[in-house]
Amino acid sequence: MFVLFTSVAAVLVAAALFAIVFFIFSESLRAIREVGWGLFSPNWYPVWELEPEFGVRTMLLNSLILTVWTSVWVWIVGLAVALYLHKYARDREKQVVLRILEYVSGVPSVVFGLFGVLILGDLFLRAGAWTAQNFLNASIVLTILTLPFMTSLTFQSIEKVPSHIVDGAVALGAKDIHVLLVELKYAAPGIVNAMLGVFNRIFGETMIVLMVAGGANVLVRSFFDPIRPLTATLGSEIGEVAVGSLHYSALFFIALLVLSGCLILNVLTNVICRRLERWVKG
Amino acid sequence: MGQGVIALRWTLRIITYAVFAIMVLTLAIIVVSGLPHFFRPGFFTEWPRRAMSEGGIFPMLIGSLMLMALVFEVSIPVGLIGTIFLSEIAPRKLSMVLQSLAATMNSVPSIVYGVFGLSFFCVRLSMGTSLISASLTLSTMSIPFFMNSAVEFLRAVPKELREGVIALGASKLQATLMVLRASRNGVLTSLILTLGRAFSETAPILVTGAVFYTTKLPVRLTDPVMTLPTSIYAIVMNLGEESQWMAKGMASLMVLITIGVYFLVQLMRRNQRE
Amino acid sequence: MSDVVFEIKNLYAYYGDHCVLNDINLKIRSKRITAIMGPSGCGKSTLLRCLNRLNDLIPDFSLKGQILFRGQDIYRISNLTEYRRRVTMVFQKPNPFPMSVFDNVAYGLRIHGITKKSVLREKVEEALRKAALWDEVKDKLKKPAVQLSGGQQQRLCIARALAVEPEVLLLDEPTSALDPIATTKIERLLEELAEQYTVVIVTHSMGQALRISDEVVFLYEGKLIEYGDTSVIAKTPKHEVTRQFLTGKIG
Repeated sequence: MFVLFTSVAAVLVAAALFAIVFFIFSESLRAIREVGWGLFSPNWYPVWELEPEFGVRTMLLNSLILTVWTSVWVWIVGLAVALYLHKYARDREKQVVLRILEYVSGVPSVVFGLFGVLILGDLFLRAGAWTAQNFLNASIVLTILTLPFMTSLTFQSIEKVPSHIVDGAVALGAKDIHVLLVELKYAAPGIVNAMLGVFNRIFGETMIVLMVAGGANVLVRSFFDPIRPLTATLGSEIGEVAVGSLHYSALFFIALLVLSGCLILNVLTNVICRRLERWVKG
Repeated sequence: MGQGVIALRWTLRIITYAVFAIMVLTLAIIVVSGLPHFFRPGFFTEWPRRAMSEGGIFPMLIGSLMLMALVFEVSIPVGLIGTIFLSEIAPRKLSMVLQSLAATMNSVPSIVYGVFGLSFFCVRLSMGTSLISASLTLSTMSIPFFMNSAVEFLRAVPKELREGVIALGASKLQATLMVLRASRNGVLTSLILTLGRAFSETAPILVTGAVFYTTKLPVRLTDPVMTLPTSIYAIVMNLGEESQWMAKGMASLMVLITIGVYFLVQLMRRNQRE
Repeated sequence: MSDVVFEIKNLYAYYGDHCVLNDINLKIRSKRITAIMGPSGCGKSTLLRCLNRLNDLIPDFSLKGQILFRGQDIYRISNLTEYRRRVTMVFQKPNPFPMSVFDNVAYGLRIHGITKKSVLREKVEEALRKAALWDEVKDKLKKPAVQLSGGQQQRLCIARALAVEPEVLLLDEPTSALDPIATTKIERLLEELAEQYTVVIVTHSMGQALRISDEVVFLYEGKLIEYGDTSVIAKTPKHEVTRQFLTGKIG
């Protein structure tokens, strides 16, 4: 009957996540077995006939550096905008800014990629960069991509702070900055959730880094260096690789890394935010 | 007290205005750089020619629409039923577990879905690079997204409404229909957002169904398809100066559609409040 | 037909391990207003909700004992939705459905299979007249029900319950969310309805129970203290607790 029918659908959904993890893991097994620790070497030359190398270290490091660098900027700017909207903005300002942010949040990432390559890339060349598609370009575009998410989640978290908490602090004669700190403490779980969500999103983003980051697998040393994060390699090579080959399996290992990173971050976010909630509610 | 707070306020204000300006500028530049191309004769009705340096985007438009229609047909019914199960039928513990699973799936990067789709639908199930592979991959992504969004609206329906219909002798199915009716605005919003996302995604379909160029429109589910986002990618990365205008036109179109969709959603939200 | 509509035998009710009703034994008779009263938290709503098995919706709930409706154990009936048509409920806070006035009243009819327009129109009017609401809404039938006033909404809920032609009307503190004038209108209405239906009403207002009920059931901390004819109990309560409640010392 009705109940049985709906539970089948729900089971399908649950099964999907396990299917995804299972498949990615099983397809990467060959690479893990045959290449072993070589997977963590810095060189990635999968199609070199003599001695193909499948090292992901450089890509992994580039991914992490790009993600950390960009995330920190997004956190700071997102928090600043959210604070401004909450504390100082008039209703009209709030509405307009939030609306524009919402529009930006819906723009497809490939369109941002186009923006980075054609428009920002041009500016970079004019500024003297030796390549239009580089670390900084990707970082800027990724910032534009994730800022709406950070800002709106943070804003909502701060707004949700119950007014009696704020009133209580003000009534005790607290100075503006102290009231603000109280609000931030209360909103901490939501804000941390947003921060880690941004990190997760940037780490997993593909189209933008594929188009804008450059494509050279070299460890980044200056802002104008082109790089190739994990997801870019995955996105560009998976379409052309021979199914079942070692190269294929190694790409799945990259997918496994990306997926694991995302899942671990998810668990981490849940644990941290729950701890924070307990700390906040006392 | 004065100085510090005023400095803070102005710093925040400048940052916010700067962010606002950048966002508006970005949207504007993308839209404006492509808008003139809408008026090229045949932009919407012709096929691309000469390595996409001439002609129009007709097959990409149709491809994207077909893909969206398929995703709609698969993910909305399954997603709706799954949401109903989550919110109305499952006992609380199971419900929480399922919802966490759906939330986790929501955060999985889209390329991982693409790679999974490739190995599962295209290879293991031998569906090849086709419309059906791409739409199934997108559906796998869209269903958790829809569920996550819609379940909040169903949960928000007050329990007095549910008790009221049961007390009149409604069956579980009839009571659920009433809950759906009460939350229909929110469910519709979730549906629109889900389809919007399916329309914009590139990575999952890049390797499972979309191709750079094909000579005819997909007629069977096993045919490959050209879509707007994948063609933008292909042109920008692989083609020369003469073809970029087409990519810009498509990008502009996609941004305008996005703005239109979110504008609609915002209107619906305002209506619900009143 | 026998005069006894409900017979409750050795009823114990639990939320998890917590016992909320302790050995309840009573009979509810037809075409009368029976009031279940007592101080807050004594289990009166729980008892009422047992009568139409609405407590089934609560995950931790369990019970022991028997509830017989016209001799039949209500936990052994074959068709629960049909049972709930015969024993309907009106709630404390008016809960009009998100539809027009007409559709609200017609809802019960539709879910039980009656869809013919002419029949619906006739029965809706009849129900609204019985609920003393027809004159006030007859030209507003298509308007959303949420636009009515509180008292009108509650009478709408009563009309909605009457439309399915039940035998028993259960009301859970139906006037506690309303102003005194609306309260009076509904009390009048209930007295009229008791001529045709069995009315069981939960109330925490002693005055209301004394005013309109024929029989009264007095609960205290989950236990049945006494029940019987209202006028008798009001004058000569057998238990100390009842007397204290009547004189306002507790509750």
